[in-house]
Amino acid sequence: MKVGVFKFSSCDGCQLAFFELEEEFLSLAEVLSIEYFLEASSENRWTDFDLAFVEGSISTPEEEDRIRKIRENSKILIAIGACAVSGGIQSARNYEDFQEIFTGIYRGRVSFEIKPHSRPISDFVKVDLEIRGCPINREHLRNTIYSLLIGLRPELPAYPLCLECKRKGNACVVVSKGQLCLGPITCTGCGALCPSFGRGCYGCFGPSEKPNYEAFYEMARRLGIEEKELKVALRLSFNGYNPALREVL
Amino acid sequence: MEGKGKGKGYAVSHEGLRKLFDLLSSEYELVGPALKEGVISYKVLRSFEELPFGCKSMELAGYYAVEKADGYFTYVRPSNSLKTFLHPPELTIMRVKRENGKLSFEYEYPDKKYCFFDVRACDLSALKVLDMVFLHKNKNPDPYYASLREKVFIVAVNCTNHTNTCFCTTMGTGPEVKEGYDFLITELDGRFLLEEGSERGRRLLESLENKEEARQEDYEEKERRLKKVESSMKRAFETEGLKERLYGRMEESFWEPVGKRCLACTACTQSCPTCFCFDLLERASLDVSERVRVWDSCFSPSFATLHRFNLRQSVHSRYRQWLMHKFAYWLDQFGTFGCVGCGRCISWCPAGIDLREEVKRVAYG
Repeated sequence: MKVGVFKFSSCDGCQLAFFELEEEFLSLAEVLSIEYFLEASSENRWTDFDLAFVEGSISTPEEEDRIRKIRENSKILIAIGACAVSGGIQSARNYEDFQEIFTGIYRGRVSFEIKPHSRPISDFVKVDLEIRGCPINREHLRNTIYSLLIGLRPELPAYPLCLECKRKGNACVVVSKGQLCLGPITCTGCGALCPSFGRGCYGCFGPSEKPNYEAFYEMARRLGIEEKELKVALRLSFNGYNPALREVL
Repeated sequence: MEGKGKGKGYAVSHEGLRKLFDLLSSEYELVGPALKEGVISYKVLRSFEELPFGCKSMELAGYYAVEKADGYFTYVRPSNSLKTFLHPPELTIMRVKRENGKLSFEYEYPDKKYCFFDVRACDLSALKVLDMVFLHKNKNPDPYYASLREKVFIVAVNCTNHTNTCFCTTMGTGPEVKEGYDFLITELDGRFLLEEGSERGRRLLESLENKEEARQEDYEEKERRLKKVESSMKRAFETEGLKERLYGRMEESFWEPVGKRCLACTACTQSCPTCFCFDLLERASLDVSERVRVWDSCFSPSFATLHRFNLRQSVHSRYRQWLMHKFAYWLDQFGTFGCVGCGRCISWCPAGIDLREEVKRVAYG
């Protein structure tokens, strides 16, 4: 199985999940044939790929061309992480005046062309699978690779964080602390990390399947949080430009 | 297994309770309530001091806070339930290995000897319900549940308080503990009444020093205290004929209002002491595959998905499934309600949905 790992606008953090597999990664490297992975090797070969893992969002015209080429050369394309799946934290700019940010912050001192929006991979090409999170969970990566090797369709959770949070034995921070938590509308995958340490979920794994926003806004109102404030939290959730979330923002 | 109750009674001091706790902890892994980060929850206890004596939870739909109170067993049932220990949230049930081209199958049964210290009437009823689900009314009794359940020692406690979300009197499960314990504690004024409930409970109480035989007044005080809690709790709805009424209310229009308010977050099913649904996951690698049983919920989008099609796409259809199961289907399956009136689903609903109000609205509205 020929594998490529690619990076677009992102922090490189999700690719680290491969190395977090430690020795298992080395034994996997014997079964898989890793042809292209800049972060792992100085020897890279552009070829046809059975499996392309893509990190990062599309935020320049060059990236748009490159993702189309990768798609043409790949059998299965897997978006990894909140940037590739939703546009990442950098997609917060999609809700602002781009010219104002560009001239105000960068003062025009950028030598390449930037698109006004940071978009997920799926806005440009067909994505076969998504591994969510900021960063992704190495167990999800592991599960995906083994499933594909065995010939199973990888199954990653699409249900809300609350289910995993309860399995962990946490008391709900909304109920017991009156804190805002994006858990009820966020896909799980992190092991309910933030609520396990007594704080509300940030939304790193993006929207769960068909969240009930109306009920969520009502929950926030009961906590004394206005819809405007809530929308800012969602835009800054690393997944604010997820196709399912941008419709309601 | 624990017996039917109504055995010999003794009266002991606070110190007597500590002795019992220590006697039990030498033989069992003790599970009891403790206050942690502002919430009373069941956990494995290391010492008697961890019991949240003199604490009381103030609970409303979607609201929880702990305050101080006079006395010892002033709190009610904890935030989580005992299914956490008997039907663990995550349990590896099988391991398949490939060695030299051959497959081997390993089954692991949990090997813990629990004592549940401080179980209230609602949760004792919930254990009875789980016993039916996993063992007595199950054509394939669950060996994982059985291996844990058969060793459990139960110390029951009568509630002398209630919180706003409790409705045991409606479901006929409390506040008085009637059966299914090894011994029972009732807090009296300055002392504790202990009553034997089983042979091993009798032996344990017999071995305890510094106890008095219970007097007639102690039993009278127990009755008075139980009457007081019972009379302070309002009956939430009529349960007689409820199943039949609900079967007449299956149309979407009855359920859409709650579907709009429900987050489908699964908190109700996870905090419920009788919700038993689970999913089986395969954690595979190239040579070892683990089959893991995890808690699932009828509110999860993948729960009713068959061949990639979700039979219950709307939130209201999931809420209907849940409520109908608790108050109607359960009776057909197991001969009892699936709800014991503990009210956890009400307190721990972040959307603040009150199950009692929904039963009233749907069945009697």
